[in-house]
Amino acid sequence: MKEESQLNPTLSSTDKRYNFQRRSADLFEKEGFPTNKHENWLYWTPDTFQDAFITPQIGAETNTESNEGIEIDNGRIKSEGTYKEIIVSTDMAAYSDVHHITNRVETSSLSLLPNSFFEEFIILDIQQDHKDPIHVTIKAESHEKGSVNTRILCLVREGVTANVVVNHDCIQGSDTVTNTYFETVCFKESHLELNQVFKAKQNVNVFNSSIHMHEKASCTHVSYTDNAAIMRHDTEVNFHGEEADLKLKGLNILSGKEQFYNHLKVNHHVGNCNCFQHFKTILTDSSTSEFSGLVFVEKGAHGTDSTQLNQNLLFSDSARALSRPQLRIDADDVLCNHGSTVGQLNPEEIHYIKSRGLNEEAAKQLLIYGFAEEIIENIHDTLTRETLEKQVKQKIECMKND
Amino acid sequence: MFTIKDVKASIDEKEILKGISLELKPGEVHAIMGPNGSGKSTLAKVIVGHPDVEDPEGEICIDDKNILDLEPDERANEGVFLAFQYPVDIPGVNNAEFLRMAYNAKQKYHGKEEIDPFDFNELVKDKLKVLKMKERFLERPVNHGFSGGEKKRNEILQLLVLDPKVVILDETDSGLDIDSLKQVSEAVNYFKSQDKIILLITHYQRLLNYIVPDYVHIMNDGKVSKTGDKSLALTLEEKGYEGIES
Ligand SMILES: Nc1ncnc2c1ncn2[C@@H]1O[C@H](COP(=O)(O)OP(=O)(O)OP(=O)(O)O)[C@@H](O)[C@H]1O
Ligand SMILES: [Mg+2]
Repeated sequence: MKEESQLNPTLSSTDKRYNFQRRSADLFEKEGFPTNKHENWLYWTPDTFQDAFITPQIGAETNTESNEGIEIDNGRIKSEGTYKEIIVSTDMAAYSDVHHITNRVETSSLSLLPNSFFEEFIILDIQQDHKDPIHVTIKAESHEKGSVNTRILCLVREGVTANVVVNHDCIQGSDTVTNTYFETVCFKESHLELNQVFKAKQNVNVFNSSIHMHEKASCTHVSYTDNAAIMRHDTEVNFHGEEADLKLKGLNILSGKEQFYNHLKVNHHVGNCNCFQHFKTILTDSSTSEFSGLVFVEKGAHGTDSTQLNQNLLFSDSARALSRPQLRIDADDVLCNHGSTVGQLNPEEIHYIKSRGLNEEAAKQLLIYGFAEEIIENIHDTLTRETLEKQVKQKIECMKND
Repeated sequence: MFTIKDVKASIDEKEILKGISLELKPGEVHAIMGPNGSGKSTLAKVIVGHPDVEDPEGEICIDDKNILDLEPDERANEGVFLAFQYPVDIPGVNNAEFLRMAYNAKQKYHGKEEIDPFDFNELVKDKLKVLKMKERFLERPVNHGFSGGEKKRNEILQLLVLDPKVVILDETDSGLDIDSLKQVSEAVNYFKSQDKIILLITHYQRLLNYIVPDYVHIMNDGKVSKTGDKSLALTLEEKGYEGIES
């Protein structure tokens, strides 16, 4: 089912691109929209947005100012930035050697759509060390009915150490959806720190992420989501080389009627890799979150160490947190743990803080902040981390407790 | 002056404290000893206003102010400090930050300005030195991943920083190694010399070699069954609780 590009190297870039998009579209045609009969789509399906999803917004302009760094507006490169260590390209043919260009993530057929509709196949090719953060802004701004499709391939070359901060800014009309496909390849012995911050105003946001880990590569991926009516994340991880290490961390703070659906599939094709997933959600009002993670350890992938942890903090009787960590293990000598918690603040902890002189409200906020900080502290770049900490602090202060 | 007047308290509808009265004067150290389950920690809980304790009766006064109806944070700001038998860990909250917030909460309560972060830093460093604690403790989350003894020491660090009037130490000595025990005792003796009021809950006479109590109270089944001086602890060590009651 999955498309691993075995494109004929003599084809021109336009042909390659055409073939790739054609195949993705055909596959989607065959498979169709997800319905709630799919186990990965039990709680929200794109029904009323189907038209929007298959109506790509071609050539839609944004009217925002550029900031520094790499900027991608409505699926097209607006600014390549000034990083000399990175090649920003849209030439698919030049990347025939990259064998992992996929056109879907397993848990979502919607992931085929950005691969059918993209205007540019955007490649961020990080060829040399860049320890300060590389800033990438992905903007989706449209008020017309339809979808903004963005397709990005981020390559971290062999032995390269890089830090990438991606800001997703979505401003949409009520009939607009965003559908992004972000593929990351960590080549042998590369080290990537990737932070993704999602900020949306309203509506439906779909984010598909495909991560490939090669031998001895390491990656820490931290995501933070703020303000989206409906956010659907599908992540697929493939371990291709041994001794790779991936940390996937995520924090979501939901209020109102916001919904967040987080689906992951981690494939350990080879042994001796570590994967640690840690996702936290703070829910107020009548918000909903779903975590569904499947770790699949293939036959022969001995020495795998894969952990899933999903923790939810609930502040309202009408908020819902659904959690389904799952394991499928076909190998021996494997260390896999999974756990999920749904709960409120611990009264013993509140009391402890109060007994040091902080009032009830301050004690609760401090505990919520501490809960969030366990994810944010994984961001090593000080400026990025502190910016996020400030945002989260403000958000928590605005939260109505009880 | 710290007075506990005929305090009765229940947990889960079971009466645990059956009328406790104590009077502690500035500069005095009182030790409370007693068998497991006799209500020592419950007394500490009542004093700090733990929510498990249902509608306690009686009076607990600092000087002339009854604090029994105050919220735990108000009691703390009035000058009560309990070093917990089982300190709680707070993942994600930086120890130094927490100390500063607590310090400033007290400042605010008394209508004073927040402390300058630089000055606070100096203040904490001084206190760390007293306890021979390493500065890296400040950058770790509160008690999270601390060893048992480190948690106890961290309680004493909070104590030194917050500088209360009434100090209750609930089995702070258990889990401490010999050196830590000495350092903690020095800190407590310093408080004694500052005319603070100290209530020690302990099972071990050993602690009382370092911190010499003015009074030793034996608690049994929710009541103070005997009061004496330091020698009572020695007799206890020799005869055990059963022997001493007969
Ligand atoms: N939260 C609670 N729920 C039910 N019973 C409780 C609770 N807390 C204390 N108790 C009961 O109250 C009694 C007194 O407990 P307390 O912790 O005060 O004893 P203690 O004297 O401190 O004992 P130790 O020396 O073991 O620390 C015990 O019987 C205990 O089981
Ligand atoms: Mg006790």
